[in-house]
Amino acid sequence: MIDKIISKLAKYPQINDYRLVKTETKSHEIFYILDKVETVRNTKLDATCSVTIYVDQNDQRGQASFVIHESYTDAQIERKIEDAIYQSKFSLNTYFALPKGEKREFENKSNINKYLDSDLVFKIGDAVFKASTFKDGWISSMEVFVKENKVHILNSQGVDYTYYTNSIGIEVIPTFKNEKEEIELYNYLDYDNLDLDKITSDTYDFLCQAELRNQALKYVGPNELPVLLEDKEIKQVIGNLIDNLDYADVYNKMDLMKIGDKFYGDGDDMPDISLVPYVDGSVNNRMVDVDGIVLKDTKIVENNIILTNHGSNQYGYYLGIDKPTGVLPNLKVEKGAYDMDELCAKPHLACLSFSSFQFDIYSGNFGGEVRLAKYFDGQKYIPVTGLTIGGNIHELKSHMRFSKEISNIKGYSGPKACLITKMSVN
Amino acid sequence: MYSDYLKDKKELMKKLVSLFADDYDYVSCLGSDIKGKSYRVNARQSQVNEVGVERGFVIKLYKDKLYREFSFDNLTEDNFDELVNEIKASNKLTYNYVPSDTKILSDEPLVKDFNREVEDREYSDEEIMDILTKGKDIMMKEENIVNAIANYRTYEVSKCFISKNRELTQHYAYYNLVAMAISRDGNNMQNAYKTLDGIKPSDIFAKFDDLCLESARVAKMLLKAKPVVPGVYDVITSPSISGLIAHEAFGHGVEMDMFVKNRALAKDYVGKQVASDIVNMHDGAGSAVNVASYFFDDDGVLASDTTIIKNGILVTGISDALSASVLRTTPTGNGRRESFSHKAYTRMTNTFFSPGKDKLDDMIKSIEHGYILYDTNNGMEDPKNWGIQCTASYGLEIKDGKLTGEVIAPVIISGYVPDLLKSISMISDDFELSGTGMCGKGHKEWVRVSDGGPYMKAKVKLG
Repeated sequence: MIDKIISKLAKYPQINDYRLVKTETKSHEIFYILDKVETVRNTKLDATCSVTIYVDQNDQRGQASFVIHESYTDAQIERKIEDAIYQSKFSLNTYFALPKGEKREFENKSNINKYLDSDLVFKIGDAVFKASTFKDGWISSMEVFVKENKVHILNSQGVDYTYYTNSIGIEVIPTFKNEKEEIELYNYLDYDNLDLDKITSDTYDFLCQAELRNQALKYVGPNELPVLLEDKEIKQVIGNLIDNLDYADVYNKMDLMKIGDKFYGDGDDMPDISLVPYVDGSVNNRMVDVDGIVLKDTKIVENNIILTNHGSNQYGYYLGIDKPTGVLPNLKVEKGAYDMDELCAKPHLACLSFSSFQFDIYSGNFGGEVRLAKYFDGQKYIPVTGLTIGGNIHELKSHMRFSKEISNIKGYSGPKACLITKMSVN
Repeated sequence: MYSDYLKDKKELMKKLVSLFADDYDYVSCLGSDIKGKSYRVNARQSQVNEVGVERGFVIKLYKDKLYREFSFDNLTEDNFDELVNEIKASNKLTYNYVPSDTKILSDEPLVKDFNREVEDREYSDEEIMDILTKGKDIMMKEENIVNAIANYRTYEVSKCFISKNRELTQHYAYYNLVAMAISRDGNNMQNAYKTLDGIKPSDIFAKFDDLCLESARVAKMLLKAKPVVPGVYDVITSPSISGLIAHEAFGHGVEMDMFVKNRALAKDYVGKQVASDIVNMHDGAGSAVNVASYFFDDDGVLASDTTIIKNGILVTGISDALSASVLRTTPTGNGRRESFSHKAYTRMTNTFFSPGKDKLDDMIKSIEHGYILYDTNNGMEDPKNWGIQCTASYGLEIKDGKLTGEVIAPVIISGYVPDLLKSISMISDDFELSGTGMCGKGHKEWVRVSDGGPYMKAKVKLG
């Protein structure tokens, strides 16, 4: 299919460059109602290829993307290409060169392929249910997705990269019952390797949280309080600030911080920050980006100073960057200066689960409705629910303290907890 | 025009269904061919790309109380035998499992082709980009606007559903237009977006210049916004926020696949008062003509208009075919897949509160101190506990029955769903639907939906 598309593209001298991305996906899925199996699903997708053509005109570069399906006839492919050439006239932008490359296949570091058979989703299901040992709680809904992807990226400048990804995704929704009501909590667990014991252990930890929500009370406490955020929310807060250092935001004059600025303001805990292609446990891991830039660890913030911007080949070229970083899939924050005991010594609110945590990079506002938190009043922890927290990162980034303890999740390796010393709680 | 590709594949789909018909109690095959295009202009760039393109199939089989599906994107005479072998191999289950108490889906005979006419007026790529560029320029001319984005997306959907007894095809199109302005004053940066959507591009484009002006006006206004002082207020929800409440606060809770798993509190409230007696709420692909309007769902069930709340009483939920079969109810045509390669769940379509009889001016005059809330920012469901988390982009202050000009942003609405719905005391005679948003199930399975309604006066907690 790829050869056929390339041979067709070669017939059009107007096309100066092209990029092809072909993704082949297989998935194995299982869906439960309570602890019983409702549906098993399999998918096999290998018949489409995404094509981008680049057409230069008067020092500008036009581009258009389209999809070729295996079923297309020669005439249909030619029609698609001709339509795209026409459309490229309406997306003439500043010229940029495509990255050059070579033929290379990247190693698949996941062990999931070794265990792939029709039984695997059932075994994962059993591993989840093994953790469901609670008197007042059960798993009311669970779905398992085991995916294997092969991604092939080619361009007209020699890029010819192939990489593989595997992932396990588990949506778990437990229910617990108390005298007054039933409660539930939502989680989606991601794994890049198969470890059934870890799945059981992570599920158990999550069920413990749900059990805690079952005991949670309405929050009664101060309206301003230090708030402890966990890895998912730290990733979102720090990640959004780092995203704003993207070449595209600089080019579009939407960047709020510049190289040389203090990232954390005048904070007292300022771990270095990198963007990296690989961290243990992240299902985002990949060694090459969609343009064919081979990715490498890139330090973005060191000693509180912003060292560099980052981003795609196109916008990097616009900014005159010699070697754009490419789009890096994982945020890595170094460990903080505080033990968990120190972070948790004074009254605070430890947020364990949000219904939805929001962060608006433009205004800096962030927060959300807390489904479960632990309020420490200075003497004891009280599980609480039904409250919202909020703040503005531009005002609060110098008030952040990070844990020494590290956590690895999808797209993030870094402190497991961050205490923001002054947030509104309602 | 209905997909030539699916026309060509219909006989193969029938052959596939008939081949499994003897061994399985239920067999269906859904074919999907979706074309989509995105046109985007901002202050420094423009793009035209195909997006949302989808072409493939899913076969659904039922035997021994277990549903089995296989999604694939290639179906030819040449690969047919290989495909059949792959489907059979994937269904050989050797693991010891306990099936849930599912029932066989209904398969009433029906052969029908559905088509929603696409507007005769065709817009060329050049015309569309000119319209978007003009809109972008309108926004950029305004003071403090540092970037402006005009984005137009087209979708043309063809689907074919074949089962032992049903042969259905459908074709329809819809369109979305977004004007987003980004304002900046030093390090204070704000954004505002306004949307138009529907099934007629000419209607949408006719309003675009005004939309751009409004977007820029709001983005500039937000530079002066202050945070809300947390508390319980009388508010008026604009149609966008009324829709957000209909969708997030209540709609997710009446998706009946949640009833099957005992995950929805609403299950215990059917026939009971859940809102004030002036509240009526609907959902259905047949309840309005907007972006989530189709003729049959991904289970081959015909679209309908479901009255969810009537005069404050919860009448029923919405369902996909499988959930309805378990609950022994009639499916409402709400079985939707993110794509042919995803499972069908109960999903909302066009979800809205019905208009009332009040006038917006009278509603404003009735408030001593409160806010009118505008523009959906985000929301999250909590069907089990009916907690609300919805965020409005901004609110305008009302004092002594008049707008003061003060702006609050952002505005998080929280509380308990029945408390909010029972507090609704006035409903305007306006009605708007917006279909630019995508809806997830949990945090995945994204489908296009519309929601809306009138202005509604309620008492809510803002933070």
